[in-house]
Amino acid sequence: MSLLQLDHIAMHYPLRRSVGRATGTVRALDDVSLSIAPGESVGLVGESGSGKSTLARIALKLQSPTEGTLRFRGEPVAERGTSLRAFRSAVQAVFQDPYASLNPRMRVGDTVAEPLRSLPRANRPHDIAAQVAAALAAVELPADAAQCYPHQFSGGQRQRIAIARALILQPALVVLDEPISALDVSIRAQILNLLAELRQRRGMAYLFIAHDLPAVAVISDRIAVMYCGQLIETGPAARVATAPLHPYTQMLFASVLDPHDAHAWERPLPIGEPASPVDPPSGCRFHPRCPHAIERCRVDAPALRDTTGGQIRCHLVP
Amino acid sequence: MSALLDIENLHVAYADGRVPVLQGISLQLQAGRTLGVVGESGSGKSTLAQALVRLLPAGARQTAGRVQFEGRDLGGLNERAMRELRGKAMAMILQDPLSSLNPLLTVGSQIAEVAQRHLGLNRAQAWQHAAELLRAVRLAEPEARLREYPHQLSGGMRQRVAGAIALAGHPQLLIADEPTTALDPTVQVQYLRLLKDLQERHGFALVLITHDLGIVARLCDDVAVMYAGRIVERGPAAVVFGAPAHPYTRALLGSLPSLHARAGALRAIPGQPPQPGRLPGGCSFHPRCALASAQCRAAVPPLASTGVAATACWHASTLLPLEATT
Repeated sequence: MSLLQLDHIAMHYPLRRSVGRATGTVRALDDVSLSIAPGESVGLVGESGSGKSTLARIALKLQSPTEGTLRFRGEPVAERGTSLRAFRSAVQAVFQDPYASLNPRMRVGDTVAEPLRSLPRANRPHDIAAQVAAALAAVELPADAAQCYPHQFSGGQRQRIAIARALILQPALVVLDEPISALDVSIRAQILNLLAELRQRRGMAYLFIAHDLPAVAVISDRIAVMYCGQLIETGPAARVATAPLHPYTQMLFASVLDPHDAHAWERPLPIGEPASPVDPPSGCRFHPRCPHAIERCRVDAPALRDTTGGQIRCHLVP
Repeated sequence: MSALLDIENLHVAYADGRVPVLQGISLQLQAGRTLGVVGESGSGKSTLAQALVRLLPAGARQTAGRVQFEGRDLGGLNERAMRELRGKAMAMILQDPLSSLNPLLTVGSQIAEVAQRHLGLNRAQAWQHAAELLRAVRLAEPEARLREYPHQLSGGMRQRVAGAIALAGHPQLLIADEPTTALDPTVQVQYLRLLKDLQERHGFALVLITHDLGIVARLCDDVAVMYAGRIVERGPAAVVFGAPAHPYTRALLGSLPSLHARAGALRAIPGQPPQPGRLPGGCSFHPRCALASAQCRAAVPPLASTGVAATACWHASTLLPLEATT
């Protein structure tokens, strides 16, 4: 059984010109279905406007979709009550900017302890200080960090604090939305290693969102690719990263400039800019940028269908 | 041949000289060449860009050294002469075009302003020049774009407009500070290729400042790797990336995740880059370096030639060549 299941999720916003009636619809997400197995690490990639951060917010139940169901361990996530509280404990988040996500006036120890203190009294542990010390140790921060304030730490150390806070309730799933993109290049590998090691030790599942494609490839078991509000390809991480099937996935991964890859510059140049979810193109949403598009792609929207080990949304892939 | 840009022993410090951010930077750039400056936050790479155009933020000042452009010492120019140089012979592209473009003026008037001021064109000629520049940066329907405001354009289109403004005065030198960091990967590659094509056509020299090693490896003739306000390695890009000599450059290249190298722990660099004003003694990289010795803790290594390149490391001569390919 899957741990978290996003079932036919749609997120549509009415588009208004200042005041008045809706003049259109922003189709931020359209019929997105994605499931995460216990202990699985799923990487979500796509460019701006693809809907990956909206999907992350829905997976965290920070916003409700206009259509579709979020299920946790098979059950729809409730709107309130103890079942929602249990979901909130089991699914935690780490965000991009550790300068914005930590309260500057709270000691690090209190920040990390906060999820424990907000548990109902009956479930609250007695050894909060010991658990905080263990969480700080797990992210390789010194024990005396608990007495300090966030400004006393560098960006990489702050992200470790955010990870410690996410881990303290022993979550089954952690949603990581661009957790390394605000960090220095020499720090990113430290955090990626830490995340990989913590997952191996604790058996958590990850939903990992990043625009750093090599980082996604390293941390994920499976990669899901989004374009303009839709999933267009899913598959095993190594296969998607090195032998992508969808023309968009090919274009995306071909734009990685790896300093060790002397041929990175010789690949065909990407065409156009990411499509806008305000007024998505007809047919296949990628067709205006697709080097292989045929007439059918302009009129007939391809469905997401199963392939060996994954899914694909393209008329041209057999 | 004398260099287009000649930086000699440049020192910049904040807080009345108490917090050094650049310590003895020396670099040369020939006309039409591309120099990549790579570094992390606090390395001083953006301060270097600001010092080149003499637009250091309040509180920062040049405490020693000299910047020569086309054989002229920029320190000897008054503000009026400097303003004449900026935007004409020296142009700049910044990371966020939304903050460098005027939100209240149309794209056309912002490009035409530069052409009128620096090239002495009349209004009609300047607008025509602006349309040509938008065509040169490959914006579709340039005449329509001229009448639009920055907020009506996508991030990639805005950065193309910033490129058109930079080109308007026919610069000899273009300084681009993280020009593609805010762009999507597919748009980034398009923009970098455009910059390279424009450089081939217009012949300007390019200083590209970035944290992205992949960009520098592909785009630049020469590279300067900065760490804690100093250049720790300098040389042709093929040499620095093919056979990195400084332990920091080696460690940085070795720590990058790759699409083809799955699983297995990444070779992370321990510790954090130091902040300006809180530098460790001796070589600034020594607390994070596997090779650090007593000498490294005691004295700053000079940037010494290793043949075609130069490295600031006490152990440079004893380091074995490293296969950079993974």
